Amino acid sequence: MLTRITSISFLTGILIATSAWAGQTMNPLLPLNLSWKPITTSSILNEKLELFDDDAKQKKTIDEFKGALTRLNKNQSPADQLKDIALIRQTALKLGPRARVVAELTAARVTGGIGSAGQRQSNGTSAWRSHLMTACNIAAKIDEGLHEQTAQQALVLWRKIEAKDSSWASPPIDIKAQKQFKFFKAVVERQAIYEWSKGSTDAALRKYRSVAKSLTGSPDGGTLDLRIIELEHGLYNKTKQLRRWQRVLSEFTAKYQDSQALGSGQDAQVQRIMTRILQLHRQLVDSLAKDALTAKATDADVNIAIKTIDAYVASPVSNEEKERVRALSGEIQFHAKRHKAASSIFASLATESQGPKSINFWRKAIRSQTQLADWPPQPPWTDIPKGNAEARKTLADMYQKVDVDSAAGWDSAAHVGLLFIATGQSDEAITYWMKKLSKHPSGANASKAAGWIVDSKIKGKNWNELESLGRLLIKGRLAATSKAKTYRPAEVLGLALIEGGLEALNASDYKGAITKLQEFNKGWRQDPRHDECLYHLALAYHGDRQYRQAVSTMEDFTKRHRRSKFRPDGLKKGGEWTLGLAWDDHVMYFLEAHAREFSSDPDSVNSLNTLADLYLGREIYDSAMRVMDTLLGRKELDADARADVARRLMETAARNASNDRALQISRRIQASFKDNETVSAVALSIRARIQAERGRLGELVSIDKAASSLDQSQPVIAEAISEIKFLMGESMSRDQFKEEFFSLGARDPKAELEKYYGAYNKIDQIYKSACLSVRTGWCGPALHKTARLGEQFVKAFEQLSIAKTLDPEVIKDFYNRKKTILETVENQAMESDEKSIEQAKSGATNPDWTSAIMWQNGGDWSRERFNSENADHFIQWRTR
Amino acid sequence: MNVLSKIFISVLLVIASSCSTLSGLRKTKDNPDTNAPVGASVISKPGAKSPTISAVDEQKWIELSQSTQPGRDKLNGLLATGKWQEASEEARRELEKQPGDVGAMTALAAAQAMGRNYEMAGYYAGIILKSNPSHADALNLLGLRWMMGAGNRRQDLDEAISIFRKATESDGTHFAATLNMGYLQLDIGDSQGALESFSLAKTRCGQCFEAEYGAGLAAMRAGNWPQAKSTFEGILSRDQSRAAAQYQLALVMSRGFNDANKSADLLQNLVSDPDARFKDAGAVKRAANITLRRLRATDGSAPPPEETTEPRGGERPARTKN
Repeated sequence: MLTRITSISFLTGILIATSAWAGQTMNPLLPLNLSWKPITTSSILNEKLELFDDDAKQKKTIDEFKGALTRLNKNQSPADQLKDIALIRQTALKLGPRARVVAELTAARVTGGIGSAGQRQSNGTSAWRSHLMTACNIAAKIDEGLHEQTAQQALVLWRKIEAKDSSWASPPIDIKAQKQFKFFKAVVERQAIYEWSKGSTDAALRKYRSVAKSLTGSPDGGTLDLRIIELEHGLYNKTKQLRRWQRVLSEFTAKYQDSQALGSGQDAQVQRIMTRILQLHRQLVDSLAKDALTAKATDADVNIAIKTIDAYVASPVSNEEKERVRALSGEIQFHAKRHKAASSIFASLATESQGPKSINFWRKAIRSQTQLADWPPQPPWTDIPKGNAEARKTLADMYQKVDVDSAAGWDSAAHVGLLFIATGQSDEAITYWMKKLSKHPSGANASKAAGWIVDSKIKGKNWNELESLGRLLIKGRLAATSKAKTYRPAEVLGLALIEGGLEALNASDYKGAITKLQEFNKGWRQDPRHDECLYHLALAYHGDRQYRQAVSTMEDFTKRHRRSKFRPDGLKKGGEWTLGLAWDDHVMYFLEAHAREFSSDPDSVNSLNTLADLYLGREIYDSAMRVMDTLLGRKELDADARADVARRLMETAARNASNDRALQISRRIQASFKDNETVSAVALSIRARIQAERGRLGELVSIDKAASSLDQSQPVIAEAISEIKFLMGESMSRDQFKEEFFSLGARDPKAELEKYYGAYNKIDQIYKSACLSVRTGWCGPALHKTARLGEQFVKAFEQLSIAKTLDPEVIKDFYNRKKTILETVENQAMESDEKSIEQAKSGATNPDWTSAIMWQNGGDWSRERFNSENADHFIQWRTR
Repeated sequence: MNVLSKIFISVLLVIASSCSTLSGLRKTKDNPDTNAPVGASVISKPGAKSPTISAVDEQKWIELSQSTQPGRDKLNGLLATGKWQEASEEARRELEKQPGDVGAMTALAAAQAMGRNYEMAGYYAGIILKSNPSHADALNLLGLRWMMGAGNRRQDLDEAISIFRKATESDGTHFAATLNMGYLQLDIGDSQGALESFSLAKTRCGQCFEAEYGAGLAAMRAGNWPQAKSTFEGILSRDQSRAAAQYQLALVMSRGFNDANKSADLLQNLVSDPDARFKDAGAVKRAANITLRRLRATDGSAPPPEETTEPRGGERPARTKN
């Protein structure tokens, strides 16, 4: 009677169940066979009655019994029927309980107005209920089979008798007493349906659950569970008892997660049931979510929706579905301004997904995280807000997730960097932006990011990174816009190169400095700092021991940049370097320019001194004199140094300039050194040399007169005065006492003697006046020369004679005087020679005069042949 | 080339084995060292084609000067062999490797002096002295600038002596300046000063010929004839090829001991050189020949006046600048 519920009935059940609240009939799921079946003794009594045949007494009773039954199966009058009913009931008492069952059933049919073929033949009476109840009670005491057969027959009869009026709520027999029979479940279901139809939903559901429970582990159990679910769904739809509905969903979700919930081989059905459960759950979720997303939604609405979603997500829905409802949950949280939760949900979803979907989730997470971080939607370039560090770090992470698409532009990147900055991670911001700039150097935000980095790098003096940025900007043709200004790409790179170069230079990283400064030099020739670059590039070359490059670069610098503040140092450095390289022409160039242009620089005095030495060494005397002349005007020189320069200048002019110029210089210096007797003395001696050469004795006398007022105790002055005296002697003795001049002729002989002797004496005195109280180099030569003068005088004087015709006294006086004079002069000459030798041997004079004196007067031939051409002198050097 | 330089170029050194200053550095020609020791001093005369004093034999210097490998060895070789212009270039190349390098700058200055450009030598020496005020080799070269400079006035010579003295005092191993000081003192007539200088030089150079010879001359100038005689005899006893010593000994015998015959014999021996012991002594032989003739003509008296060399006016005769 009871068969498996087919899939068709399953689906029908669903349809019916779901439409139950629409007033349509709900069909039972469990089959119950209520078709008519005649009540015969054969089916109940045959076997037992035959046993009775052995008893003659019983036979009669049996016959009576059968006869009454036969009659009752026919159309009788009500009175006959009552008679026969009484008969069969009476005889049945004798025949045993089985016969009583037959009798009671038959009595119930007949009293119920039902013919033997199941047709209604009369209205009947209400006695049938009693008969049915009795039949069942008796059968229950006999055996299970008969009991079941009887109870089922009773139900058939009941449905025939009451027909439309029959109610499963009031069956004629005690249904509970039949629970061991298969049909019982079907009856209970029908009762449930009945109660459901009457609005007794809880009772109906209890019955259904009861039946379902009894069928647990069987396919029919699944069908019933589904009915329960549908009914609960319907109930929820009507009552909106959400918790109950949630419990139901949870209950059955839990149950049907077990693929063996309906026994083995029922996986498909289990799956179908679960699908339906989830479908309903989804409906619930969507419904609640819809409510929660309305403007009027309360916290409770939100909470319920979220909780339901959580439960739904915990169920075995597909990952896609989970993702969908979690996103829904996120939206609800966002809508409810629960940003922390919303952010967390979307972040989680984003993390679990990929590609555009992930980015979309991140964007939604950012939407809430922005609120948590109190962060503006647009990159806050002008004023980066403070606070909310943790939330902002999280937000920065989120923006980074979004900023993965190469076409993503700069909005997210701008936020990332600014968030880093706001949370004290400026370096990270820069790193991030730099990476971004390397790929997408375009747009307003890129420009502002670059500007921020520029400002930061400038402030932090991080030139290498600024250089990298500059190259990126140039590559992308992107200007850097900071608060302060807008930098052109080349401006950024240029700044980085020169500052980086200077930094490297300061760190003695010369090669690094060269690389940077070289690039700046080539690419930024018009830059205002090109002079600085070139100057320091030269320093870098020098540091790197590329001296040739260093000098040429410094030269280039000084030629290009004549107004640079580095110029004085550049010229000095150039001079210093080339001095060490012995590049004399360069030394001249650098130091000349330095001394000329920066005369106020104390170091220029050193430059001038060096130049003077170099020009003299190179025999560029005009320049040497010009430089020395310049030096004379320098206040940095002390009196002694100025005097030395003055002497040097005059000596140089005397030896190398024209006499006129030498004179002019000497006079000028003498005039400007009135208070310096030493310089004056040297000036006078030089003037004396020139005037002596010109044979201007008068000038010499004037010079001598001027020199006479000077302090002869000072060696230099004494030397000068001594030289002047010597030169005067030389001048005066020139062409004196030649033989032809010693012709007395008709003149007074004695007067002539005195005249010549007087001339000699005068020159002799002049020569001897060269010997001063202080030892000088000119005393020896003067004495030597006056001795030679004396010899010449004697030689010429000896030849003087007078006419023998003159008065003898006159003649006698003449020769006596001549003899006296000759002896005197000879003695003086000898004395002078001796003194000159003493002078020479004392080391007072110079080698040439010493040699001359020693050779001529001392008979010393040891050195005379050799020292005038090449004095003995030696050079010493070390091989390392 | 002047007479004296030829004399000295031809003179080879006999270095006493007891020389403390150049101990281990100085080698004779019989025992040459083929490697230039690090830090070894070399003494040369301007214009000379070989060093006056050196620890390395002449051939080695020539080899070094001809080296295709630039560097300090070649530079030393060029200097030692008198190739001062090439030495200057090599020194500049060295300076380009290490600007201001004292050794290279000294070599450059020395090269200038070798070429008798004393002003430039002094200039480069001045560069060294700015950073090394007591650098004896540089001081010596600066002294030469004052000693041999164009002005050559008495004050200049005093300055030269002062600088030579400073060089001598600043470096106990340096002796070129000591020799220079001695010869300059000798030339200006300061025999006593010269004697002291040569005495000091002898201790530093290990009785080198230059110091001994100078000491002999100083003794002559001071009229200490016996000392002069023994000094020159001592030189000749150690090295009979020293023509200059033979010549000066002849003068000592003539002037100090009135032994014209001995003097004439010495001169005659020098001029005729029967044993061919005087090498590269042409200039000395010519001087000896003249002196010999004078001796014979004047019987030992002073030479004729026309032979004298007298300075002009207030200037000393210009010294030759090649």
